[in-house]
Amino acid sequence: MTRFKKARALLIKEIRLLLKRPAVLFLLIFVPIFFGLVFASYESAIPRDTPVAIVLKGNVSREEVKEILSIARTFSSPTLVPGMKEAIDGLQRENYYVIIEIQNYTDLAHGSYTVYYDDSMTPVASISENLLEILRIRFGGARIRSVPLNRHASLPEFFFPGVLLIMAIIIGMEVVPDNTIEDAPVLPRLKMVSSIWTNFSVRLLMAIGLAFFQALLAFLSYRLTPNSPNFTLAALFVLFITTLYLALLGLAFVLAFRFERYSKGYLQVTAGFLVFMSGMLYPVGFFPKSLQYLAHLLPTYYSTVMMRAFMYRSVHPSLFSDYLAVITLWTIGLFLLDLLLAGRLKEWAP
Amino acid sequence: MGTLIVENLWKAYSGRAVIKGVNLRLEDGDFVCIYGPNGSGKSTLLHAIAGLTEYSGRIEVRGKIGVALQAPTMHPRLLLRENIELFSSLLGFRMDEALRLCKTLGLDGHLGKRFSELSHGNKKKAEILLALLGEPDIILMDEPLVSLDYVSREALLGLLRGMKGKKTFLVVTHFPELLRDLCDRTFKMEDGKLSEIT
Repeated sequence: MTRFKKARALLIKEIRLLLKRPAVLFLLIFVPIFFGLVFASYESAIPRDTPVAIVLKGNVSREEVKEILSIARTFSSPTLVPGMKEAIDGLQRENYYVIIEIQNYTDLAHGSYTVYYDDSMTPVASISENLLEILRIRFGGARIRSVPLNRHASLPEFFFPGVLLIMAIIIGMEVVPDNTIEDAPVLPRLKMVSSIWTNFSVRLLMAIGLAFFQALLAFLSYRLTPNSPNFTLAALFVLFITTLYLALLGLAFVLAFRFERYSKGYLQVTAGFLVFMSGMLYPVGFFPKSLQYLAHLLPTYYSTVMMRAFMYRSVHPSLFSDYLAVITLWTIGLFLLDLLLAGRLKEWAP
Repeated sequence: MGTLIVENLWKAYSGRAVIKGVNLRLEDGDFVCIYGPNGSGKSTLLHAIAGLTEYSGRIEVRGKIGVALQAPTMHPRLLLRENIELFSSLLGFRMDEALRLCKTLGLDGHLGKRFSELSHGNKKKAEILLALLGEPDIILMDEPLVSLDYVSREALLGLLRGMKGKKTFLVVTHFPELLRDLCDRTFKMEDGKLSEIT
């Protein structure tokens, strides 16, 4: 009995220790819920909320549109799009992963369909065969052809833009906060002999330099193989602005928690959340709808889409002007927040 | 050399006044000591003069200030030598001069150590070294003798004696008797008010 009581006291101690670490607690709860939802959405041949654009080319009655959409809803999340240009633009922006163009529709079995999919989105391309199979079963003897868009990307190539952003996350949410926390005792001295903002500005510039250095290393190692990743200026700009955003985010956490080491715990949880939720490793369109909405609230989601688009798709950056605006506005907002938080350093408590 | 004028200085934390209308004037070459109980506002006064905290009132500094704070302000992860290089560069001070000061303070044997690995006494000496870098006219020191062993304390006192009259000093200490032969004037700080001991 005494042994049992001791064990119980130690167990209570373990639980209390855990409860006092909300960052770890959040991960313990978030990870199983996230993967539970993602795995559940993949129980059929294609994830049930995959965004699909339906384009009607021929004359189709209202009832027939309803019928088409209700069939499409059984295996995807369809949207009726007025024309192919809008649909392809949406596909390049990852609003849709697949376009089903209905050229001719008399009834289900006597239609003519073209399925376009993004071949640079490797996981999407890999399920396109499943999708075609589903359509052939549902639409009976209909004529169905498939057309891949954009250049084909192998699976490692598909991961490459996301990995570059994960490296930016490591810099912005690990290196920058770590150096800032270490700086805490030195700040009064820096304030006297230099300026705290010069110190932070140099750190932010170094973070961007590090991100480019890592990208260069990755590029050079890639070049050792016969393949070559397509680094465009637009992709490098996205890497630049995202690294700045992440470094300002890292700085904001440390400033908000007054240089306490536990701020890194919160940052690590946030970093994991951003990697999963921004689609850096797994396409957001394969998430359940609720998680897709959540992902669209994250500026890093737009960075991920743009990085993939600028590296593997022939697109003009103007197609992403709103995405660029999102990440830029967030960066400016974080900069202002950092200014506000750093203002507290004026009052350096002895 | 430098002069320092503090007029009607007030400072409050969370609505509680910790410095209440302090007046102080240091002329060229003055060596002034301030002592008083913990929490009386001595360190806050130095922070205000060094520009580390906001205040109301007037502080006029004529000359360059060097400050040795109570808590160490070197980078814990960097070596002592790297820290000295950093602050010498920021202050535009020659490294060989800094190393000479290092030797005087008995820190030359620790240049290759991480700052975090130094003993309390050596950290204190390093803080004093930072106050002396950049050839300041006015030197502010917050508890410079704390954590120093007898040998180091005598070395520091010797260094201060050598500089007396050539620099202006404002030293906050719990041990005014150790600085008796150095101090031209001694003040007591109590409950945020400063009074000269005659």
